[in-house]
Amino acid sequence: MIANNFTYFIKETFTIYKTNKLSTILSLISLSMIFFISILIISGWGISREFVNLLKNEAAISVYYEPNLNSYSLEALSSTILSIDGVTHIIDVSADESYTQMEAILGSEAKILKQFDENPFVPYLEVSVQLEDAKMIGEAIREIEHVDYVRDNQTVLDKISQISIIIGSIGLLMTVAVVVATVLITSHIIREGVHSNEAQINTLQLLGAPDLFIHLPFWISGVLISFIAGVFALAMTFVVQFNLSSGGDRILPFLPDFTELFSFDKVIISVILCSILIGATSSWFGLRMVKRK
Amino acid sequence: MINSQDCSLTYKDGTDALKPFCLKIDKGEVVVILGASGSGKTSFLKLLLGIEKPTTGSLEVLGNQMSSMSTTQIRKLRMHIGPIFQDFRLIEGRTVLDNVLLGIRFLEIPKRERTELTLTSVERVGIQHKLNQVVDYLSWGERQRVAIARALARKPNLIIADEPTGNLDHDNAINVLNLLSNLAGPETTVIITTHAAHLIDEIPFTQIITIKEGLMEVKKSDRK
Ligand SMILES: Nc1ncnc2c1ncn2[C@@H]1O[C@H](COP(=O)(O)OP(=O)(O)O)[C@@H](O)[C@H]1O
Ligand SMILES: [Mg+2]
Repeated sequence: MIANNFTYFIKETFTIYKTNKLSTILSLISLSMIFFISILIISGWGISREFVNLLKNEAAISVYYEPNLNSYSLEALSSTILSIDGVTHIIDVSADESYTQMEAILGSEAKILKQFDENPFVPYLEVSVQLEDAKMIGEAIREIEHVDYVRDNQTVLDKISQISIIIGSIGLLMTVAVVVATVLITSHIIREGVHSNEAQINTLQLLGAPDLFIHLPFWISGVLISFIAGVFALAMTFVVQFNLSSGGDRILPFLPDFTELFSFDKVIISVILCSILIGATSSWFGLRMVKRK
Repeated sequence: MINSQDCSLTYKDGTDALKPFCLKIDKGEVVVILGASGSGKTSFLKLLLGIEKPTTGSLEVLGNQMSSMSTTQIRKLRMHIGPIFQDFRLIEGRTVLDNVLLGIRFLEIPKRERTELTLTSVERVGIQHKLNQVVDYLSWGERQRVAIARALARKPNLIIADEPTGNLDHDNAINVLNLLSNLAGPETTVIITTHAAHLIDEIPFTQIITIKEGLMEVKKSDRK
């Protein structure tokens, strides 16, 4: 029955658009905007997550040991620390290296270091750890012999933890908001279409047409409008991204640079799939209000 | 074909539209339902189409018990019925051709037979010269012919026509009644409602059923 009436269904779909011209155009515009904004939000979210992950992996604890420790004991200390769960690796930072690091940090102000006759820095171990285990590992290291002092930047680590949770929740919230808005708009267009075609639907029911036959054009109209909105949103994203990146500094730095990044077929495919999927679900949702007679 | 035992219809608001009636209509009959306006003619046709369900008693249409049918089953039954509604229920904004086609698209009729079937039925009712005209601008009589063509193209086992003589003068009314009763055949039963008592002698009917305030009565029967 579907294959037999393929052209009919397509024609009906466009008749539905024609009879609801204004609402079709308005829905198309709002859906395109929603998709466009969600592309921005989701790519921004992805980039921030990557950033937080980077920070997470960089979480480090500085371990200061007894100054007169011989190299044999130092090695033993290192391997004890390395055996703690959650420790990824250890760098042995000598006093000279500490000095150089501080010089780099201070930049042009580094000349104040020249005030010291002797190197004021002491050697330490830089222990890289998994963020979640930082607190526990810090405590464990404090208990080890020859350890003088442990600096674990707990407040900074806690902040990073909080930020990652906040970014995660915001992203989730935004995604939910986008999906809900899209479903509401699309199912509303379907409803509107159904409403203005009530007489025809009623007649077809009286003639014995199955629901699939009656509903399909409306369903197609919902899927198609969502799909076209997805394509428009992609076009807008590319226009914005190309215009901004050609000027040197990108105004939306969190967006992947499409000019370099050729994995944008991934972006295209996911946006198109999502728009079709959302359109299909919401159309189905909107059609559930048709009274069966 | 159609069989009822003490079937009655009371609407939700309490209106007693049809008092308990017993009927038997066979394949190929031409049945005229005669009654004044408001007597319950349309209500009876609504029962046949499954738009309303019997309040009491039983009603069998084309082998289906109407009181115990799901919506999907009712739709399937309707595929075998060719209804000509009092207000025709054409699809506005579409051509004559589209209207007739739309009545058969979802039936089990091969695609290549559709066009032929449409053209034959349009010719049979004499509206072929308006084939590509939008139905909105047709006269009442022309719209009626489109409705008949749509019903006919469906190759139905049961044709029901609600007050087809409504707006017509005497001669045209007789023409339409003859057209409809001629649609009856070995596989097709025709049921026509009317309030015009003076016209019925002109129709080759098999049964005349009168309705008075919901009370049905078989008046004349030529059934063999
Ligand atoms: N949906 C309905 N709800 C309540 N009463 C109705 C409904 N449809 C028809 N009626 C009433 O049922 C009676 C029979 O109506 P109907 O079958 O339309 O008569 P006819 O077709 O013979 O003119 C009338 O009194 C009418 O007002
Ligand atoms: Mg009536």
